[in-house]
Amino acid sequence: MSTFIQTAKIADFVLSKPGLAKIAVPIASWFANAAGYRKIGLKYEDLITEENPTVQTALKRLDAKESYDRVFRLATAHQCSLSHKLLPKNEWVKTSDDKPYISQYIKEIEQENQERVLLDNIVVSKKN
Amino acid sequence: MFAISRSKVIASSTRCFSTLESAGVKIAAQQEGASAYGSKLSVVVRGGSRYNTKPGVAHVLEKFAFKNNNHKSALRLTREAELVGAQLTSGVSRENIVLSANFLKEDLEYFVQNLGAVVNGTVFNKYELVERVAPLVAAEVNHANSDPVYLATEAAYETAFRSGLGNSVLAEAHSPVTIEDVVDYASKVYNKSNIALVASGVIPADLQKFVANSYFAELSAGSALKAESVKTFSGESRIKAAGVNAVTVAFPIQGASSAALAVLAKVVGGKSHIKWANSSSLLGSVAGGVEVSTSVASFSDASLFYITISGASASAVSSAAKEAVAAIKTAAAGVSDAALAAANAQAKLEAAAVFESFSNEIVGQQALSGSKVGLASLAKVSAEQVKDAAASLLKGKTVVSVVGNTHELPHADELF
Repeated sequence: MSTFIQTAKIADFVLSKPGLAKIAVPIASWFANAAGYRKIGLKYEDLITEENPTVQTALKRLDAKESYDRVFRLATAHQCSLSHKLLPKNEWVKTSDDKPYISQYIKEIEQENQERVLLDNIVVSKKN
Repeated sequence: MFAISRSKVIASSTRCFSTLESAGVKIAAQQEGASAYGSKLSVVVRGGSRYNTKPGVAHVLEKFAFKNNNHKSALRLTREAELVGAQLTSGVSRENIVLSANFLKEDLEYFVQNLGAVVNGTVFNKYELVERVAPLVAAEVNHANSDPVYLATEAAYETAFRSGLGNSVLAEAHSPVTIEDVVDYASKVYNKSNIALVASGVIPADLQKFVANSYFAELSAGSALKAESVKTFSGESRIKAAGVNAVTVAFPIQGASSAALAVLAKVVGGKSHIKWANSSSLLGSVAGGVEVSTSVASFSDASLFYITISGASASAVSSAAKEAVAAIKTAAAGVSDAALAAANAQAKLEAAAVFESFSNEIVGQQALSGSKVGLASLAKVSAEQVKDAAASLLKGKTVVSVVGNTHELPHADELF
């Protein structure tokens, strides 16, 4: 299973190579726009599967305001989906507003879980 | 007649601390410890509840010890300590927060680093406060609040000193401490002016070298916290509660406690130190299934002499409270030689036990205030001094706090 830490590592690698970033970033922005989630009022990180303990814990760590905004965006998107309509163009989520807000918490939790697994399976060797 | 022959105690066998400084951090260290293999290291932080910027912030900061820091996660810190067979503990009192580690001698450098990382690098995540620290604080508060003796004593402190020393040591349910309050308080107390390291079972020169290369050396200089000057008050506090009844009769005193007060506490007495026996002190055989204890809490600039009485029956507790006040009046009239000798010995032993306790708090406080580090003089107290101490208590401020059946428990004016 690919984790957020791995994804973040790949993204950092791509961004660290100017040549690679020059090709990848425009494709990524085109893809995000074409996916259409911004047209029903969602941010990219609203699409993360939340039915697992890691993301559930991360959701609890959000600020009250962030958490409220997220629920509002999800409700808007559901309404759009039910009525088979897109939001009016001026209410689409702007590229500049489509910022990560939960991945830092998810990464922290994944890190802690990985560390726990490591420590659970630790082998102590005697130093001579 | 019964006589005990006592051998002379050689003074050099008492605990001797050498005081050092390393990169601006005060250190009190001694080479001989309690065991040949173990060492203990404590960070005594001037930041107990009397310096609270918000009710309970010191308690919350204490519970934040050994949580995630910049250098190590909370999980790794605990697991590694387990692997090397060490114990990490923290505690809070009215004057200090004490973080301690108890470990094998060869791990000294490692624990200097770890305690330094706790003091210098704890990250104070908001979610750690919500998920781990707050439940711990709440559990401790609930546990303490279920004990009427604790409630009566806390009420006595609050009535006697109001603010400062009157602050509750533990957090209070009605004043949620925010993460910003904790960060702000930590920046005030976790600096070179407000911490002292106390170690036993270590080589002082080694410790000095390790501290100079640790996160302790990178702490900011800060400024020493000043306690507001102590004022004492008379008063009464009555708390209705179900269950056990408790009465605390307290006498707040300006200035640090004297040896005479410590001996007086043993003369007045209460619960016996010997199992299944009544004590021979004045309150040693109070009837009615009532527990009595007398203590002196000594702080740098004030002290509180208090007698706590607790029991299931309110009438028995009431009559024991009257006996307690009568006992102080008896002591003010004069003390027998036998009682005085026993009290002197008990007070000495208690002072030594507190000085040598695991937390190292007293040593740290002495190092912080720059006074001489060592066990306070154990000179014999005379009958005259004890008599005067009791008389001056009765002339000074008096506090009575009761918890339980308030309609049956005595009022202050019925006791004195």
